[in-house]
Amino acid sequence: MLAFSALLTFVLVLLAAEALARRGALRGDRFAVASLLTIALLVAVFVFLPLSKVMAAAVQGAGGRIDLPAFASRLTAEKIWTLACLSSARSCGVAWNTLALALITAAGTTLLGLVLALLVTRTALPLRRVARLLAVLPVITPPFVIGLAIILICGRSGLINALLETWLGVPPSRWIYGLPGLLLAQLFAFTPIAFLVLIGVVEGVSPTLEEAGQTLGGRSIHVLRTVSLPLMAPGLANAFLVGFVESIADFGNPLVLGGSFNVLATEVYFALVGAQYDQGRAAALAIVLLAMALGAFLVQQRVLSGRAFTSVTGKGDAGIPLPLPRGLVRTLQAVAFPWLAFTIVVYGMALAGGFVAIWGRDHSLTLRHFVKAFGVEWGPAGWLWTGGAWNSLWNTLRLSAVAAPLSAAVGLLAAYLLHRTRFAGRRAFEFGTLLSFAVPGTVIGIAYVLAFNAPPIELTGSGLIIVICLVFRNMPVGVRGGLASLEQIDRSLDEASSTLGAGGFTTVRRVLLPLVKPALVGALVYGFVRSVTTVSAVIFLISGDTDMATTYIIGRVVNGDYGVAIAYSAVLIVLMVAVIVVIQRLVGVRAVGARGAESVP
Amino acid sequence: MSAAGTIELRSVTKRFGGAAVVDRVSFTVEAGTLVTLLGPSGCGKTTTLRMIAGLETPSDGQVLIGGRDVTARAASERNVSLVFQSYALFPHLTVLDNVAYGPRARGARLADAHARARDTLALVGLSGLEARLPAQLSGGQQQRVALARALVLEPGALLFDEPLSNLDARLRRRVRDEIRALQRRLGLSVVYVTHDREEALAVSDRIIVMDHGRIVEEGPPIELFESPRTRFVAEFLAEANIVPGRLLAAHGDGADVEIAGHVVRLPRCGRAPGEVTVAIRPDAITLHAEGDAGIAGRVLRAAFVGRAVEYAIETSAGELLAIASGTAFVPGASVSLSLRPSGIALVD
Repeated sequence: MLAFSALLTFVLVLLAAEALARRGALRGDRFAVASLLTIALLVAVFVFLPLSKVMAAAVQGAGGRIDLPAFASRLTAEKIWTLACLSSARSCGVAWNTLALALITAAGTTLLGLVLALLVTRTALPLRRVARLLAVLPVITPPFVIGLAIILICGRSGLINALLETWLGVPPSRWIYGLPGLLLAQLFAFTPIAFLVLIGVVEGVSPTLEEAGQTLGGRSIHVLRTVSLPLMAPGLANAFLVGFVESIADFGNPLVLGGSFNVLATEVYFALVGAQYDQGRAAALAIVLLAMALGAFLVQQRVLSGRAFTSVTGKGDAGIPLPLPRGLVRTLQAVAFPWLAFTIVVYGMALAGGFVAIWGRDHSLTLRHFVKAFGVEWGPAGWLWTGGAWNSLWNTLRLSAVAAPLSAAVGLLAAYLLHRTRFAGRRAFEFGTLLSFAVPGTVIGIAYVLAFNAPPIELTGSGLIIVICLVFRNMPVGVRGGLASLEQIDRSLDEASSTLGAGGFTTVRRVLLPLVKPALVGALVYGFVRSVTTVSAVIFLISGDTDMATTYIIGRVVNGDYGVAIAYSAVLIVLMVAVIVVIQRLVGVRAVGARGAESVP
Repeated sequence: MSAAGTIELRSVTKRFGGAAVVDRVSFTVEAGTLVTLLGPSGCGKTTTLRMIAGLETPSDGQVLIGGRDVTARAASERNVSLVFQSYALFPHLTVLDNVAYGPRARGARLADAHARARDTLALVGLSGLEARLPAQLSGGQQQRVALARALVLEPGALLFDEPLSNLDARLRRRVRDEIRALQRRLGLSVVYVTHDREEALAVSDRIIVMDHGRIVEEGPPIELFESPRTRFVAEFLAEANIVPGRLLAAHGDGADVEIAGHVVRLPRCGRAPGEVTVAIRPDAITLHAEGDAGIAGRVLRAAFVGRAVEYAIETSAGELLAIASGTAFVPGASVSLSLRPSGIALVD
């Protein structure tokens, strides 16, 4: 029944698109109109509708009627907005905490991502491949693992504290909990996303423009600062925005490392899950969070509007990228190498932990955790999957493999519509695609339960609702990466394709898609990985049939079974590395014919 | 040469914000002719071209191609091809795939598309370069690929957006002549946009001069060059000097006009006696040594440009530009100027 009505709706959308295109909408491009209507409809049903249910919960009073004074008092609660930490030892309001953390994280991740992107693409680093992989690893790590590894290293009974005690006699403390540990974890977790966004941008900066800067007398540093960096500005702004929004929506790290430093995301969770179950309060907190995301979006629009950044033109740019000045390279390396070294250490911890019997007490090596999770036996009827983790693993892989291409496709298509076409309501459309990114996972989870627990659209308990949730949660990175990449492809290429008789779909497929491959890879990788590692959104949507890997791991942690939890995490990490390698091989890097530094005699 | 190649614009207007970038422009391009839109930067010629191609939608008016109203049609559904100023070659496709793009987009099979592409590449003299990428070609070669890509579709009309502006001067004349020869040979209708007067004069059957979104004058090159009707066209197309004059008396078709104290008999007129505006082409001025009968003047600057010398001469009628070959006069010299009537026109 549901499938039939979905099909019918789709056919109606196509008919409407045809009619509008005939009347000249979007310059008569049927494909663009149909895509626009479809995505707008999907976003309306699967993003706006659930959220409106949450809004409704926020303004409702005890009897289910609208109660505005209660709404107002929830929004202005002291716990959200107090500045007590500036003058006393008490903590500040959650809103200020969230904001401060997000701004520092965004700046830090953008800077680090740029450092890594420059090093990987612009220097003859012998470890280029390895550096790329290492920089990307933290993306594929379940949120639980980064926090645990940091605790293993820096926590009260962790390595650093043990070393400090042995060498310097400093008593162990809980210094890592709160802002320092959170900052470290978030920088670690979100720099790779900035890196993925900035890789495509750095590679797309036209070498000719840099050569022009040099011939006009600028030294390398000057050219980098006045030509290359401004050209990369959209990518930098996008990366900053992504880092900011990721930080305010982060749930796993504050849960583990937050200590007494409260942020909005965890406050929402506790308001819903704890003994309180205060829908109204949770919804009000969500509104504050949304306001921050909206603010970030508006700021970005102001900074980026009205500048031309075209770098991939139709004139066959044949320049060689500017080699970085030696001093700068050394500085970059001084920043990047410790970072990469720390990555190796964390992963060492995460992978080694699975082989340790009991961390902190019994350090003998054993395989029993792996057997408990992934045991396989040959029985009379064939293979027997005796390990407890197989069910959740199959579910996770199956649903993520469906969600990733869908979210990449929807995201890139939305980026194309936003960037290459003009239509009324673009701002609203862009906000709609950003929205699901900004809302913390727990709120999305609750919103979906509220919206789809009953007819007309009843989806809870099925794998479909998880797939839909994942698609719309991860779509924004496809949009952001697609926008940054499209910014650098001259519109005359679209126009040439159009005047040669190719409709919108053919132009996208044969001209734009090959040229935005870095963004496509980023969207696929990110979509799949986030689907596998997401916790907060799906924790309310799973059922007996659709248990996911991350919720299974948390279940093991709650039961104190750390060994199995770490072992399972290690397996997930290895699996996702394999998937990423395969995706990158399949999609490949875009071929634009620029000369490399090696080909000059 | 069927009616399929005709292009007609009826009172086409394009507004951005409140300003009209193109203002009630109407003209017709007959099949098999090359019409140039000429004007300074910002006059609306490129926007007009893009409206013919379908890349912009007119705010008012109609665009007809081959007799059919295509105003609301998308660019991909019109039978015109556009050669972009920046060539817009697809950087990730080889030369052959670039040229074959159009036929494939319209449904041709790969083998057919490639065959047609090869033929067209031979037509523009690029055989042997099919496997190269655009980044591996010179500017002139890239331009020919862009041309081949547009031609392979055998469009009803071909549109050029300042095609020579990115070529070095040596190549410009050659490519210009090739485009014209190709147009004549294939009987194509062409709309050509440029700001270069020499280019426009060389290739066009008709020139439409535009300024601030409006058509100022149109006509065959010779007519616009020798008998401009407006001051703007006289200055822009012929670099004419604009000076005040007085029409003394009419004699049949011709008239006596006084310029800077010197009376000239012009062969054509059509005006009443009184104050008039006179356009004197630089090539209509001859310099003589001081003392001869003529307009007195003093040379301010002299620039040797190879086949002639360009002079700036101070006279009672203002500073005049003269282009003359022969004996070079040095700056500061006093000279006497004579005017050739066939190089003078009365303008509005």
